[in-house]
Amino acid sequence: MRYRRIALYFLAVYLTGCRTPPVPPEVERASVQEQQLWRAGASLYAPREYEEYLENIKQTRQAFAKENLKLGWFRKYDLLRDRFRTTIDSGDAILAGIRKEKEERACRIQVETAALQKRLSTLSEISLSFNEWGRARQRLSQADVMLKEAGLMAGQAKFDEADGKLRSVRDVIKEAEGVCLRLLNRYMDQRQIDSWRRMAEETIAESRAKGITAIVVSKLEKRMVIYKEGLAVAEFDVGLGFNGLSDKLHSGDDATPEGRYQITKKNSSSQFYKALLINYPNEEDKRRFAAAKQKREIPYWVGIGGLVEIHGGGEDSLTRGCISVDDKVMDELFSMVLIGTPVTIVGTLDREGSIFKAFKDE
Amino acid sequence: MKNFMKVLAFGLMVAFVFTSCAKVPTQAIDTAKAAIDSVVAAKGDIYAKDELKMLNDDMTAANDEVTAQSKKFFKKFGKAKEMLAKIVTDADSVKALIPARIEEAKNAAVQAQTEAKAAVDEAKALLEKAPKGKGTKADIEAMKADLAGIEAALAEVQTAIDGQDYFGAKDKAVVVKEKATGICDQVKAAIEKVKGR
Repeated sequence: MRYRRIALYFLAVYLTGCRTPPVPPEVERASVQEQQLWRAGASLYAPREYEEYLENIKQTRQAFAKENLKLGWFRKYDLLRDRFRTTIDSGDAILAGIRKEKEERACRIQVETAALQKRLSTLSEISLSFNEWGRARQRLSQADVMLKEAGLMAGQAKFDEADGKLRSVRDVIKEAEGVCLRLLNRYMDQRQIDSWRRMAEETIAESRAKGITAIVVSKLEKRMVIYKEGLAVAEFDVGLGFNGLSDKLHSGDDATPEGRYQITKKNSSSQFYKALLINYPNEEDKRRFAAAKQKREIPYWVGIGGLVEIHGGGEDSLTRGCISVDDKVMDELFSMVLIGTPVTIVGTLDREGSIFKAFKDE
Repeated sequence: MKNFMKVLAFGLMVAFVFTSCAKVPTQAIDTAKAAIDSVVAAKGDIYAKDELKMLNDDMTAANDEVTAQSKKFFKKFGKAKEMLAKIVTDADSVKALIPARIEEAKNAAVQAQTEAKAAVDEAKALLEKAPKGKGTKADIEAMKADLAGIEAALAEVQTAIDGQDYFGAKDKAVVVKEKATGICDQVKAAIEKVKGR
């Protein structure tokens, strides 16, 4: 009878709710959060806070384990729950901080990538404009691959690696830039530009004074202007040699000569439709060639070259040093000029050309 | 007096059993640490990051248990020993996983490299037969130079594979393929343009 009473008492207590309390959900949340923090790289982004967090969570878990040693009826999780919540809140703050820092780094990398991409495009445009198909162009292509790799790395939150890749991209671009600059230096030299301008002005003045037709070709702009009695009467696009922006020094350099020349022959049945032969090499060219040979800047067996023409066949920029124009233009030109018509070829007449402006601005 | 001495001797014996005999499982700790180090040496930090993290967590828990027991008068290292033994077993399992993962990453990198090479070869072949007519000659030459740069990048893929940087190799190969495919498309467009004239 006595035992029955005791059993009934315990049954009543059990049914009225004095049971083992359930494990608070914060315990599981804390575990998940700890994993999230580790995955987010908390030890790298917030080492001090993360260490503190780990210490807190460890102590809270120890307290939880201690509480679990008690009989189910006597366990009380309320205080522990609060401690877990506080720890979880600090973890959330760390996660938010990491997210923010990652966003900022991703943003910085994006901005830098965009700037480098712009630089690449400008240099690519420049290299195309003067037919640089060697080291500069190859390095630009490599830089483009590396830039895309950096993008992939940033996408995987590998920011340090992405930064390293961007540094390499900058170096490669700099190398390509160096190659371009060596080729373009003359085009940014004010004295050289002044000299070209003088040559063009003298040609126009001669056209005006003698009442004749004259041709001025500007290589950088790839433009040909026809003057009649000192007035511009026509303008055409032209193509140049493979190495067109360089000044011709010897045969086989695929460069287009610069200087004051005259038409020496009109060929109406050229392999390039029609052709106007100019008197390259002139006296100045011969003097420069001899000096270069004396300084052994060119091999002794190389000749000065010749047969530089203005010819048809299209202005596709790929001659061996001649100036090419469309066949229709050639017809027009052929009728406008005579043997002896002055032809002046200069590097550029415009110091602030758009490409170079972009080059200098960046 | 005799009884008191007996009780004292028995008490000392019991204290000796519960305190001195329960030594810190130093050897087990060292073995577990070595097991984790061997996972790192097998490139677990690259190919089994999550598993390595769990091993390290377990090691921390085992160390905590050892520390907690060391502070007690009646030390019981049985649980810690079990935990440490489990770490060794788990580390061996993780180590066993790594070669397959490395192989998988290597295969993915080699596959990407093969695809990139095929794209580069196709671009080269197309450039050889590209129409070098009016208005395209300069573009073709520029694309050839671009392709030369891409080929240099392709060579770097092999360097990355040789250096067992399979993830890096794959990323590079993917970009190389994309660029080479871009050139193929441009050349094909140029061929079509010429055909259309």
